[in-house]
Amino acid sequence: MLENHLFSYIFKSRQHPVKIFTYTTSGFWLLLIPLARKLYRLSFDVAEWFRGDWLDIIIISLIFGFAFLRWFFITFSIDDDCIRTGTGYLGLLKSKFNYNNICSVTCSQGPFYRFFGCYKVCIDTNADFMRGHDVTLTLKKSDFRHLTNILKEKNIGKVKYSYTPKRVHLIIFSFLFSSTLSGVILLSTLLIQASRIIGRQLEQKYLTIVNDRIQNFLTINLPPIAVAAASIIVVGWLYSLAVNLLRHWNFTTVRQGDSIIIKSGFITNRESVIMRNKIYSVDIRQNFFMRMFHICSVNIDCAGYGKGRRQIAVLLPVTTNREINNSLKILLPDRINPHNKLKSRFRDFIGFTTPPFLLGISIPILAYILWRIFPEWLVIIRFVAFIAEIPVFWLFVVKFASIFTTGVGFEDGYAVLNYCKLYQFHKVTIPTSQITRIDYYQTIIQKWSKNCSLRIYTYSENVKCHKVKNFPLKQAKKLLESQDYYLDVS
Amino acid sequence: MKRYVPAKKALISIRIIILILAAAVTALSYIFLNSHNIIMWIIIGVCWGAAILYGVFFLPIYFKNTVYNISDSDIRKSTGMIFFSKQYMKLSSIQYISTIITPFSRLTGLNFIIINAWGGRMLFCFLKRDEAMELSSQLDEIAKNNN
Repeated sequence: MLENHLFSYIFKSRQHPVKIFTYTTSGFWLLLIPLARKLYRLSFDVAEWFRGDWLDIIIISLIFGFAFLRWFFITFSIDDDCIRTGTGYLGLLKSKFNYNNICSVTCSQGPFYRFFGCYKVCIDTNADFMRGHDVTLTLKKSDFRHLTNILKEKNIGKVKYSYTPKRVHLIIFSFLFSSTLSGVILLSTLLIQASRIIGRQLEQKYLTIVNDRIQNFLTINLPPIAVAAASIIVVGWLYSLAVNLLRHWNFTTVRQGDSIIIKSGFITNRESVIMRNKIYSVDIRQNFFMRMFHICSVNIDCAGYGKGRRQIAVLLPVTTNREINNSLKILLPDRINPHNKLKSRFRDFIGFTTPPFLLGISIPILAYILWRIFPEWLVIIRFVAFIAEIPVFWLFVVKFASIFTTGVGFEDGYAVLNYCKLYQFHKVTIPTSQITRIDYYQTIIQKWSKNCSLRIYTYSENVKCHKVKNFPLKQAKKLLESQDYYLDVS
Repeated sequence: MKRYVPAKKALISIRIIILILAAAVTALSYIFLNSHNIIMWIIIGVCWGAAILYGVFFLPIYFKNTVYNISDSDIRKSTGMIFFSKQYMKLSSIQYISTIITPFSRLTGLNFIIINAWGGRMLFCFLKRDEAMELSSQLDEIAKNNN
């Protein structure tokens, strides 16, 4: 009876015990494995084992003890109208999250957690907590079921509308939104860490193999470092592609009552429950190729959703321009789709293309200066300059195309902002109540041509700035004044 | 409008904590830096200097200047030690409330309320325990009605 009470006292209202292991340091395992091996070698003679390795055993016990205390002091309770948590040192920070303030609840279960039957749950409100989620807990299956039942309870019996993208669309989405940078960072980290452990042999071997293989295919003589860098970029991009694909595999969006439930994942299963009235903006994104093929991706801005590392706040991964309005009507029926009232003009193309043009001509000038300083590096400087010109040229093309898409519109309490940020076209629909500030600014050329650009600041979990460029100043002022945004200071 | 001020007991508690910390630093310096006399005395001097500066001058100024006001529509906080600031927050922007009630806080006055809202958070420090409990339940009721 007493044991039952003790067991219930320790484990009730606390996270899954597996969380204790994640609270330990990585050094814990490096110490534990040799110690366990030694104990096995001593045929489980604990006294001898303790005499030989007492310091390591004490350190391990301390690490585990602190992890256990941290786990013990973090408590939670799932009530009918709120979630209460006790976090921080000694669990002294008591918080209460009312369900009507919660914007999103994201649950994920990787293979490790699946093995132990637990779930990672992240809860978010609109409170500004830049470092991460408002609260993150590792829940037992029973607690997780209890929480999801409460969240979904009020929608039971209501009609479900679901959207499942085709597999080929998911592949296209992963292909288009893979970030080379994240992959390269991971690969470089791997190489650096490996070099630290086994010396520079691995790095040199990698560079030699890549160089030999590539030189067999290519007749031109490329510098080995350039070949190695290119290969790292390609492998990094492939890694990012694989991660994206696995993350968004089995993607499904369901609207039921006032919630939107988004499920995805192949190895790690994710499920996000988003409150529909807490979605503050819808962002239809396209790059140049997507625009050419009339496809787009729809992202949403809701506190907590897509907040994790390398996560995208996607509602519809890839859809065609023809299907998008129907899909959004099903998933977000209250959303209005305003049209551009103010558009940029073709004759202002200089305002769009000047930055990439200046960047494009600065590269050869910089390359020339570098060549004069380091004449023996001619081959590598020429190669890097040539490679750097490609994205700049592409940026020029994209910015030129954005002349025909840039615009602003207001309708029935919603604003639409069409603009191009770097290589991506955005069409953001946002309630005007979320707009906190509008600036207009003019460059010297714009002052001369009586044009202006707008900076529109919107607020959700954090402030976002949307830059919409090159409009006739007079028309821009007229449109903004029609919406009670007076920019002139008298 | 309701007015809250930090508990006087908290000032005494912080002074005691500062004294304990300064004594601990002195003892540690004496044990570990006895062979480096100059460094030891510099550390002890800096530590007691900071302790006296805070305990005698800055903390009383902070406690004297800190006031929390709660009206039907907003919260206002006025505080400062060297630089003084006034903060304003609408009650309608509150999302959730966190409280830190330390052990023996009825005696120490170490009770805190964190008001998490759109755009940031506001911290109410060193409230009396009863006031902290009353205020947190009042603010929580407001958060419940906010969307």
